[in-house]
Amino acid sequence: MEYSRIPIIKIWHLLLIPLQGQIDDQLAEQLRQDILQKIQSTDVTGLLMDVTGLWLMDSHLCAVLSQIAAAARLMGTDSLICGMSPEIALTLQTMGLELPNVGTELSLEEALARLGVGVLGQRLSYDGESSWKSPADPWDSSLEGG
Amino acid sequence: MSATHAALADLLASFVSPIIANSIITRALRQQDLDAKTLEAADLRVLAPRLEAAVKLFVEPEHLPKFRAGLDSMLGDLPRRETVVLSIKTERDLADALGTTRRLCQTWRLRPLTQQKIATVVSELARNILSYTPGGMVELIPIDSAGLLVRASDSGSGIPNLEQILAGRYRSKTGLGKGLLGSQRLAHRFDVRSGGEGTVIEAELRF
Repeated sequence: MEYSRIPIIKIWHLLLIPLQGQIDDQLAEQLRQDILQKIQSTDVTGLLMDVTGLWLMDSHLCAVLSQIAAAARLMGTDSLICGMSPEIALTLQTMGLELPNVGTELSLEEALARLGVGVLGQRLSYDGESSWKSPADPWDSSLEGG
Repeated sequence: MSATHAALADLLASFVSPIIANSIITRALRQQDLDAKTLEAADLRVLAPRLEAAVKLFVEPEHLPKFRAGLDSMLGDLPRRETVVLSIKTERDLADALGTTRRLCQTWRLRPLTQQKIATVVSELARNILSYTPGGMVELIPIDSAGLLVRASDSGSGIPNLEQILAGRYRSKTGLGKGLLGSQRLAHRFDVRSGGEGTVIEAELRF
């Protein structure tokens, strides 16, 4: 059996997928299976698909990523895409392509923050709805109070 | 060492150390199967994208335009743009076609956004051929100094619901159809002739 050349990395309660190179049908199918299996066998709550390593995103790839996200959602896992280049973003926008089921963030850092992982001291909280909020910096309030 | 090679080494040496300059050139030459002894100005055009990518790793972004200008002044005239025919039958062909398209765009030194648009149109049209027909081809036909015609042709059974697709009213479960509509939106001019004997799609892109 051939293994996917795209790694699936578990960090804390998240799965990180650094997408790269050309993703053909076979690889997409393999990736979908591997990701869903990993979601089932571990206790992750978020799926992060980093597209920094892709130089092209077409309607087919968008559909593949949305399908993976939809399946993950059924298993209780939210998905985010990050690292999209300005050229890809503009092209997708012109084409009128959307990524249903998937949230997007500019960078890996921001995506991690939205899924609840941040640098200690800049703790992030979840407001119970759909967005992650950063509470006011305790230093600010203490300075204002003093 | 050819005169071109020496001039290139000089140019690089004003941006990076001689050792790095040398290894950047050596690596780029090896990637393109070129020989330092016989390097000519005409070869620089194929070499340029490789050199730029490598120099980017060592040079501050604000110095890059200067390097690019230096490289451009060594390039000489643009090569004649010729039609490229890409046959599409397997997934492998699709990957190769995209690689070829990308290299071509780089050789022509198009803006990154233009490269992206061209490659995306090629990818969409080629994938439709792959998914729905026994096979076909994609031609890249230069029009003038600022345009490219992407022509995809196949001998499949034609596109059903074509009108609805291009009007944006068609929703398929697989997401296909969106590729055709998207290509139309990316193109300056878009023309589809489809019937029982096959389909010819022409998308004209401006740089």
